[in-house]
Amino acid sequence: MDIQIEDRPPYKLVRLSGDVDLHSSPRAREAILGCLKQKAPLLVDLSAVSYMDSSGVASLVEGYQTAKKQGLEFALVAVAQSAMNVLKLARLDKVFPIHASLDERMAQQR
Amino acid sequence: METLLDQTFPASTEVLSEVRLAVRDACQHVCRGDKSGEECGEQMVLAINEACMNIIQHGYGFADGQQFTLRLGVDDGVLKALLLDNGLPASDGDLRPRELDELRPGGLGVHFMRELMDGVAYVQAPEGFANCLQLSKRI
Repeated sequence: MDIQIEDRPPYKLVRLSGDVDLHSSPRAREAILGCLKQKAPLLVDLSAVSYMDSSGVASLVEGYQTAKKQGLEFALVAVAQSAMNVLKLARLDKVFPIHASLDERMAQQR
Repeated sequence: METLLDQTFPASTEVLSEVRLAVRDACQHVCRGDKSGEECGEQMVLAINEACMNIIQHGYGFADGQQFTLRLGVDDGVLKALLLDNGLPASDGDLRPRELDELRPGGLGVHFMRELMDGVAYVQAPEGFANCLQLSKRI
């Protein structure tokens, strides 16, 4: 799994790519919670995620809950089909705010 | 039963990608070559991955030097996976899914296995193993 963190004011953007599994998800969790510690609203781009298991989903849930407690926005953007299938299985596709693309979310922001 | 895979892996998170690759490859030989066959294979991959996670995480508590065996076969149109380990004793009581209405990280693995498979149960472990989890799915 690869992680890229970008500044997209007012957001922090975490891009996850590759397999998000029990081996790699602790790094995803660390990146997500690290951005939230900076009190920035967070977008997580899942467009290049090829595989996600329940530990990857757990990292997203923890991020969502942490953001909510802090009154910060947390949303997923461009969710790859492989990740969307798992979110649907966990019935989280209706819980997380999900945007079709980063551009779409940024345009709404303007 | 036609054996598709019989392999022992180190009980380490690093090996999960290797397990998925092996299961995906084995399923390609028996699942239909269309979209539904591909979905069936991916569901088997996800369920087996979750079962392996449970062994590594809960059965062995991430301890070094442990291993588990995965046997995958097809019998009369049913894909069957056996996961064999020597971790903490496990039983069907450990296979109760949690309520999804409760939003919290973790505890989704059993739900995934139950949703994706037609059967999830602990069966009599063969000699040399403490636990044997059987996952089955009609193809």
